[in-house]
Amino acid sequence: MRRAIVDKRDGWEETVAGQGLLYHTAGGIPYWDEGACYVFTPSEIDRLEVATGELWSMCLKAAEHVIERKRYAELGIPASAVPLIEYTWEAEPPALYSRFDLCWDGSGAPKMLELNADTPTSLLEAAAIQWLWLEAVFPGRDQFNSLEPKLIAKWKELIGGSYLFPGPIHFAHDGAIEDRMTVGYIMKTAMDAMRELKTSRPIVELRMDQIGWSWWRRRFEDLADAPIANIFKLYPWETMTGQAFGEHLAGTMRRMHWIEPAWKVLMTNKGLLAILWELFPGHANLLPAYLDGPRGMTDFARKPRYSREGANVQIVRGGQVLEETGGAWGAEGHVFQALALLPDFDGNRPVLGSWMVDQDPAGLGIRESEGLITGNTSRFVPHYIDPKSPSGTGSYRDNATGRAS
Amino acid sequence: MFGPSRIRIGFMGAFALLVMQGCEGCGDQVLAHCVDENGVVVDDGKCDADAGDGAAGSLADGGEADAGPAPTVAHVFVYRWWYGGHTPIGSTVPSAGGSYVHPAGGVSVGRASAVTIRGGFGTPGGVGHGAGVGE
Repeated sequence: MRRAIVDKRDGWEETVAGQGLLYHTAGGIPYWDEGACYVFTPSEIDRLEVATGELWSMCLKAAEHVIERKRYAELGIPASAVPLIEYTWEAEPPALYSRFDLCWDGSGAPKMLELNADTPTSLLEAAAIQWLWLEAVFPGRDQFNSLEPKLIAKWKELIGGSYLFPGPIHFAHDGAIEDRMTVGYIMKTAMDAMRELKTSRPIVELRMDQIGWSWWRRRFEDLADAPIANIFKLYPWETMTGQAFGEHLAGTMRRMHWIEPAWKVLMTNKGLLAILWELFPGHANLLPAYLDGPRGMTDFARKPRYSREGANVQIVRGGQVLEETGGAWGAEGHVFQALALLPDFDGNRPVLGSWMVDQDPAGLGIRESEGLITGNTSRFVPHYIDPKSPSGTGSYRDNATGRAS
Repeated sequence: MFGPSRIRIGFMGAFALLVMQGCEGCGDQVLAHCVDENGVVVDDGKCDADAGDGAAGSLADGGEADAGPAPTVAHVFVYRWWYGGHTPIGSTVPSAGGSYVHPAGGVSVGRASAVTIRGGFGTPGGVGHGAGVGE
């Protein structure tokens, strides 16, 4: 694994915007940064893929453990969410995707920082934009990226099988542009699936606040007062259950599919890190983590159980706070995870986003920052696979005219 | 369609209580529900159909009206309007907090079936250029 400096394509802003990445620059700083890329060997990608699959299996076991032992309160999960979690865990309604955040520099075992299983973003960048970059800049090279075909295959299974209720498929977000990009991309993969199946269903996009509730019909409705039966939402379950319509979720759960399903709230809860360490102590891909405090650790990250975008994270080293972010999370409790410093590639610290589609590892997206905490202003940097790539934590220059060095 | 032809005074207390309590998402409206003889909310079409045949129409405003002779046609008792807070189709309307008598003039009445409330999830108006909720 190494970081390579590459020339940006002329007019890259227009190019990626035309491909759907409207959020390519934030505050004058490129969010999509194709002036650099990460290069992996095939065996390194194999190790990432194997670790991702193994971590997913362990997370499923940890979620099952929480449900069987009813350890919801330890994770700060409200009682109102429990029927939703337990019903969807048993009924296995449609689930689409997740993303592990891993700490790794190509040596040793990748370490799991967290799992984003409910509302993962940066999907468009990982699935499409970096693939189109690869085809343009390094044609003939490969990438750890089967996100799009796997998402389409999953939609084909859902739409072509009997896994969805009749009626339209709704897609909801809270209006933020970065969330709309991910939702828009998921919509595209659903439409691609229908095209391949030679079938069609109405697709309806709406904001979360536009979702209606009819007391009379006792159902959720869209802006046309039509029933919502299948809805992909990029909106956290833990927020939904606490909002005004949260009281209607349990009564309607057998008549509609929310994607991602409610059991994902267990997977995305950072308290799961402590459950994982309890069930699989010493596992090479895990970091020690505890719910009740650092337990003597002097180097650790304190994370809220429901943090988003790196908010309210505190990095403690040698007992001293090294870095800290603000935000509105933390009242639900924290998890204390042994510190795994992100590797330093000439001052750039990447976190590896290893994607799952359904039950399969499906690709890699890398976000880097100068600091130790990856937030919503971190840069997305593409990657490719080079069979002859040397490893190292320095930055190398690659020929961006089509051939890797 | 919802105009009262007879008002039973005994119901006014309960009705006043309903108006004072209000109902979520109704604004200032009182909601009309079509119900069957057991007080179970049914599709509005049942009441609309009865209203169309004349005999039942008079009872759509309150089948237990004190004034006037009792109806002689059996089916006219089947469907009528009940005025009160949100009650889903298939559910039985509560014994208190509503009325079979159309509200007095000046009170806005709407069909319960036409009311869809919004804003119970998400950020009102969306977050616009604000931070997303993804991770």
